Amino acid sequence: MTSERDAHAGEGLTFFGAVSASISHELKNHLAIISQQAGMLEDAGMMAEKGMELSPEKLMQLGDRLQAQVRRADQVLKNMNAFAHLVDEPSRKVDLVQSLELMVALCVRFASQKTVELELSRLEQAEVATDPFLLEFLLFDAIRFALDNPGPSRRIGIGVHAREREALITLSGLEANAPAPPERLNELARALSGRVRYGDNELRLALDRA
Amino acid sequence: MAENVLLVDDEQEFLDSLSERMKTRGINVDTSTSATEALEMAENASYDAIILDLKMPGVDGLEALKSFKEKNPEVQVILLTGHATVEKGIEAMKHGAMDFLEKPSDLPTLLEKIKKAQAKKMILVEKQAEDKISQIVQAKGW
Repeated sequence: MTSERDAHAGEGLTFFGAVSASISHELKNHLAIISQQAGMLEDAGMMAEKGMELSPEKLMQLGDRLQAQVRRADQVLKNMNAFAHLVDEPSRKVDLVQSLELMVALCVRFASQKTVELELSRLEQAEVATDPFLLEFLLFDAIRFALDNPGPSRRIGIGVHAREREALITLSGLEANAPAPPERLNELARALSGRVRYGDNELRLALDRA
Repeated sequence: MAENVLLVDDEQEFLDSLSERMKTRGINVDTSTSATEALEMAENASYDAIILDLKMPGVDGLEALKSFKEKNPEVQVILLTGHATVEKGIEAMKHGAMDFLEKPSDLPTLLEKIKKAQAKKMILVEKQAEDKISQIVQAKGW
């Protein structure tokens, strides 16, 4: 492990646990839906046994709905797999747009609990060489700060801007009177050779591209 | 007598599937994806059981449970959660839940709980009626 990861080991585990718990809740919801839809198939079978006519169209629709749930659950597992593999390497080239897409997908449930919408927009391709796990931890903390301090629209716009020497991640639509971001956000940014700036209802994470 | 049930969950697909299965079994079912809307519905209709997801957007499930019980003390609330622990169960009961189930919950178990909820509510309503009559009798000195 790198010294930066060591420095944030305890908090990193808490982050890992929070995201894992959220994923498990999402999967439980999908399983609950699949369970009821499978029950509907059983009900159709029982009604057919009693002589009631089966509607092929209804059965096909039910099959489609089941497949749709399986696809949703599969996507949650894909995200979980990508999240789990963040710790494979202490440093590698990371596509910031992909990193953001993953963390936004993992934070959708947290956002929903707060009735805030996360919106990815203005995404420019940018790569940085960094610790993938600490980067996602930084993004998670930044998104959680934004979710705790949404502006009146309750919509947080998230973007990636590629500059020559740095990549800028912006979270806009924050409350005007929000408190300063927590110190941990600054610490994580520094560990990743980055900086946190806050003002004009926007949080900006700048990461060196050199 | 057919049971009257209100299902509250933010997953529309879950509500659609479960409500359809309940309706084919003769249960009168209303649904809502919002705890706030469900509270209004509970004020305007008489439900034997409210099946409530513990984690819903914007509202703490236990707070919603308290609100349901404040407005209608005799209504029976069954909480559904993705992760049932003993601690959460105790907390739910302290707040007045009739029962506490982990998702995915099978329909026979839910139906059994709904029947119990209806019976429990009837006993409470009858007791209230008896108490009222008793008060009237005492007041009139009969």
